[in-house]
Amino acid sequence: VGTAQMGVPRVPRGSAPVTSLLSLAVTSEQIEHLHRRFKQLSQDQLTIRKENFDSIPDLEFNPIRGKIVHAFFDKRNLRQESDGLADEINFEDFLTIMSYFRPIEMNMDEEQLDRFRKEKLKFLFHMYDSDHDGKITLQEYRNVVEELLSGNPHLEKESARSIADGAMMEAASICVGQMGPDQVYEGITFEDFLKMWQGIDIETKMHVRFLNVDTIAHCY
Amino acid sequence: MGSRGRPPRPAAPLLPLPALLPVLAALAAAAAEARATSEGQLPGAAAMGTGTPPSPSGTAFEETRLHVFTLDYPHVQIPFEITLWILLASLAKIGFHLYHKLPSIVPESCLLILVGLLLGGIIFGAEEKSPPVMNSDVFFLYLLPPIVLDAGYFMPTRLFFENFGTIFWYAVVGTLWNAIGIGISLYGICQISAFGLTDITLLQNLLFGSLISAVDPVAVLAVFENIHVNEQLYILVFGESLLNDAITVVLYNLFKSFCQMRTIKVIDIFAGIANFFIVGIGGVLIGILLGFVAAFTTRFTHKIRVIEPLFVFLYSYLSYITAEMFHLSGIMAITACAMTMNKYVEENVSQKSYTTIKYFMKMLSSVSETLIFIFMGVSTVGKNHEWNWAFVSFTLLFCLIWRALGVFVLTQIINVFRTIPLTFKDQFIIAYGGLRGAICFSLVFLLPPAVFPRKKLFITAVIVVIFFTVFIQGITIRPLVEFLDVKRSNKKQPAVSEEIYNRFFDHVKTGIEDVCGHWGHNFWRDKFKKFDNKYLRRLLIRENQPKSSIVSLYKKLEIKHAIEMAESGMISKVPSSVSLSDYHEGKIKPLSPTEMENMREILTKNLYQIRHRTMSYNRHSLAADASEKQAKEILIRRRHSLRESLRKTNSLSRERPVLAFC
Repeated sequence: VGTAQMGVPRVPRGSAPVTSLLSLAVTSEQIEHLHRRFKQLSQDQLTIRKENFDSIPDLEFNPIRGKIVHAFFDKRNLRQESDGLADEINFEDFLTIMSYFRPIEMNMDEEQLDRFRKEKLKFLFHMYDSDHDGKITLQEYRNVVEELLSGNPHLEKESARSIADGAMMEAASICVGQMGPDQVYEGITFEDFLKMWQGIDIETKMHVRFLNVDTIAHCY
Repeated sequence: MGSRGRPPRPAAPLLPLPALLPVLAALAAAAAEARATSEGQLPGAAAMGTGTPPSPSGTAFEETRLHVFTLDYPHVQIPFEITLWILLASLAKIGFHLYHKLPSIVPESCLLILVGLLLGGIIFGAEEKSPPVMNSDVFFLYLLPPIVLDAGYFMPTRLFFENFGTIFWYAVVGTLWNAIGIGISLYGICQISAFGLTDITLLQNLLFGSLISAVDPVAVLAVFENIHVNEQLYILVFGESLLNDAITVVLYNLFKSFCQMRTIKVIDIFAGIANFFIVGIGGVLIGILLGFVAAFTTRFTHKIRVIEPLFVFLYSYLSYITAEMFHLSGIMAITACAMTMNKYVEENVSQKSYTTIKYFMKMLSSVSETLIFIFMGVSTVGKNHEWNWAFVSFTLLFCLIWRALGVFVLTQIINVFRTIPLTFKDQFIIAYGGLRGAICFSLVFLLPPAVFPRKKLFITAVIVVIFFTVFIQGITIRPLVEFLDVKRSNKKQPAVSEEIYNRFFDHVKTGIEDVCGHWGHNFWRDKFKKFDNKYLRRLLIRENQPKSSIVSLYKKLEIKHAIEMAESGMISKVPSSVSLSDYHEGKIKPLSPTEMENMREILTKNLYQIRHRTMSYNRHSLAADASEKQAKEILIRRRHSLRESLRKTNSLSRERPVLAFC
């Protein structure tokens, strides 16, 4: 089952890395399933825009909805050299984003595993770092925590800010260790981010099963 | 009598174990002798219930003088013996732990069985008859529930449900596979006339197979909690041992009735299958129902905090015996009850009650486990054995072979459906961790001897298998785990940021699943959470405030943080405005190293308490609560002094809302 049959433009943008990624693990069955979903979301168009995501009912209740949708259009995730936000994405881009969530394989060696892990963590890092400057600053962190706790109406903004501050201080102590009295901690860089997730085996946790289940959840 | 009963104090802590043996021997001998003398007394004395020893003649005309000192053992016999046994078990435990190397090499269960064997030998030698065999009723009704309750209450539910399919698969299909496999192969062996076993029918063999294939939760717990494998493996083996109770109950009763029936129709087999569903699902339903009732009850107990823990125990025990009354699976009932109760009760009861529940549960289960193993040892010694080399050795062989085969084949099938496939190492540990224990032991004693003329043979075979799995597999599993380099449990202390990341991560996954249109685990979990928030929590929890785990944990942190900062003098008596304004403005001025250390310590200590509140499956220790009490003390004292200082300096430029958070 070649992708040509599904009418997807096979011209790879950014060439080799994309196709090698796709050929790695997303099977043709999964591609078909995702393509069906893509067509549903895009209403049979060739591309999806941000507005199309509004049609997913369950996504409404997700507190970090904005960030998730944003992640789909983030050019850094789409492996393009440029920066910023794309306006619309085609099926190939959709697949690229989904490939961040593919499960680990048994036959991966150390180096592949490490790259695998870094990819996934980079995806998460981009979600935190909304201004694309390569660092998670205090303000961005606060933003994340506020969004996370936005589902809870009893919570004051003050608490969310304090929590973010506390977490940031923790990060500072992990990443920089002892700081002099005049040092200011700028923000969490990607290396620091990696350090913090060291203990957690993200490669096994961050996956979604794209089984050949018929799409039961419909969009409106 | 009394003086002999008092144990001699061990001379020095250096030689506790050898000194303990005469202690135990003395206790056992005292108990045996007491029973012997009491049996010698006339039944009339017991009936009279007075304190005077009876006159042997039986005539009431002889006047007895007033007795200054009397001894009336039969009056207190039963409680006395129970207390002695429990005391003995606990003393034995102390003895083991005095040698700190010992529990790491040899699991406690082995040592306890050895003690039991020793005792059994002493009693046998003293009385020339078989020592008290563990009464199956006592085991099933009193000794087993606390252990299962403890395990179910502290079960990591999230992990359990994530692996539920696999656990269920292993428990049901695996046990069936084992039971039928062992039964049929043993029958094949019995057919060989050279072994002298031809009178054992196929049904008897199947029954034997079904009772010996059950992986035992008590034994698994006893061994696995010392080796600290990663939680996924632990939950697979342990979950399997819990869930297979349903199948074991059904198969056992099924084959037992088949043995007693003359003809077996196809309808009976279907009845058996239907019975399985009823047993399993019925047990779980009873458990869940009583769990909800318990949660609901605790909603109203805020005026009588002292008896709050009682409800937890009563309702769970009630679920167990109700299930047993209907011949459903009691283990599944009590597990379901504990898991349901846990979430809601935790929020309704006071902190002290919660601690009481935890400690009492651990204590009960610890005592039960110890008693079970000692009794197993004691009951082994005796005259109810029949040795047959072929049967016993082939039983052992088949148990091992079928378990290994079963795990291997089943894993190949289930790996197709799992996202994280089980590696060969995992499979090996799962197969190796299939320990048999007291449940098969008790089940074999329950066999009606009329239907099973070779009952003693079965008993011997079961004992050999249990001893082999507990001793050999129990002792060697630790070095094997290290040799195979199995992933161990992650003892890292989590932090606030980790909690945040995990939550964030869950939402990302759920979001992606929604985008894919895929109903994954997260979808169901989300749905359940919504249902839970909307209906269940409103009903079952007292002041229902939707609590975020991040927030509640942070609140506690705040208090500690404030205390420590005040204590270390960073903020002097009056909250300094300068440092606070910086704090709120976005620049993070780092604290001095010692403060950072303190804060980190507080963060990790506290987080460990809160987050791992219900995840301790270690039987012998609980997370320390002392620091919490200390902190509260400090906080109260601090509040006083702060108020003092505020009153003195009645000008305050900026008030940090420290007190607001308390």
